Amino acid sequence: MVETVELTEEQVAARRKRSVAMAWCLGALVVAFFVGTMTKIQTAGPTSIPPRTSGTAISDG
Amino acid sequence: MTTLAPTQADISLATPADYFALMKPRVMRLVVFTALTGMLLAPGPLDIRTMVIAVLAIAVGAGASGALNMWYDADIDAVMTRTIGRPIPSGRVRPGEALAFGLVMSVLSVMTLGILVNWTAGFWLAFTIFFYAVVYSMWLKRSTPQNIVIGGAAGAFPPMIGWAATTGSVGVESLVLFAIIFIWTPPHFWALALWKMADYDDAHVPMMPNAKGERSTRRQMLFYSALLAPLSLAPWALGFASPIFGVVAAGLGGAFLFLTYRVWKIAGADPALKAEKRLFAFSIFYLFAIFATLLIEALVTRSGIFG
Repeated sequence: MVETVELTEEQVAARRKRSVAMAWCLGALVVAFFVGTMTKIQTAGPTSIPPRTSGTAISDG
Repeated sequence: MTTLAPTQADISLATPADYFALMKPRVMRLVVFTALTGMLLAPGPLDIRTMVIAVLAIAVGAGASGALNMWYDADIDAVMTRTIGRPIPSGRVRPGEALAFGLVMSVLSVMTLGILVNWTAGFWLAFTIFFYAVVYSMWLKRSTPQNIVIGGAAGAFPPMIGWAATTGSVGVESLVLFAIIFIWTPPHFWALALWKMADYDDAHVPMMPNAKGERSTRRQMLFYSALLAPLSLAPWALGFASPIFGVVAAGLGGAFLFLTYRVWKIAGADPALKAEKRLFAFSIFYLFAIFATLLIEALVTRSGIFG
């Protein structure tokens, strides 16, 4: 049988507040990374791949 | 075999407000303000979304270094009247919790700034956290009366971080902003130390007034203030602030020097230490006003008002 700890009302309330704060912080981090990544993509524009030239083309064998 | 099952006493009572207090919000506010000024003053395009992310990352990084400082200084905070109510000495947050919080936030803020803004800014934020937590808190604070002179660099880096966030490099202009905060720190902090001498004595922290005496401290405060007055004109002299800033900086620098002169002249004759308290309050206003003027000028320039 697993022994559990009986929390006081104060401990339960503090833990709930910590959980809510952590959820908000992690949510904000997700938003920050989403927005930051989108900004970087927009700023960089479409990725340009240099065209293959005959001199550097990989031989087909 | 013994098991380490948690008991009721192991469950924390800390609330988010306690963790926020660990981050030294008042210091954080000043850091954000000076970093934002550096960011907007720097030349080059600035995306508003990137700017918000940079400000948040710098704020969290500054808070993380504050948490690490409170973790390390918990023993002396517990004997000083000014700091006894902080989360660790008051028992609301355990030292281990503060350490973990500080370390996690440090890594998170640096990585966020580095990945989403640029790695020059990320490096300077990491260096600032290291400087404040390790060089100042762990080494200088308890070992030399020059603690806040050298350690003051930690508080002076934020405009450089802001500048780096915009440009990806550190320009001479951001070094000037660094120098202004660096030279401002000793008279600002020693004004406080002069009226908290008993506290620092109890905690065995060798602040300048305790270690070298009040007379020497007041003389050095005057020296730094005399240095600060012309230095604060440098943004105008170097051309990255207008003559209006020059006039404001000259007035503020003159007032700062005058108030420091009074602290030196009175030499502790007033037991209420009114001159020291007035200088301390004015020094906060001084830095705010200098950077606010630069910030307003940067906003005006960027918005294209007045051509």
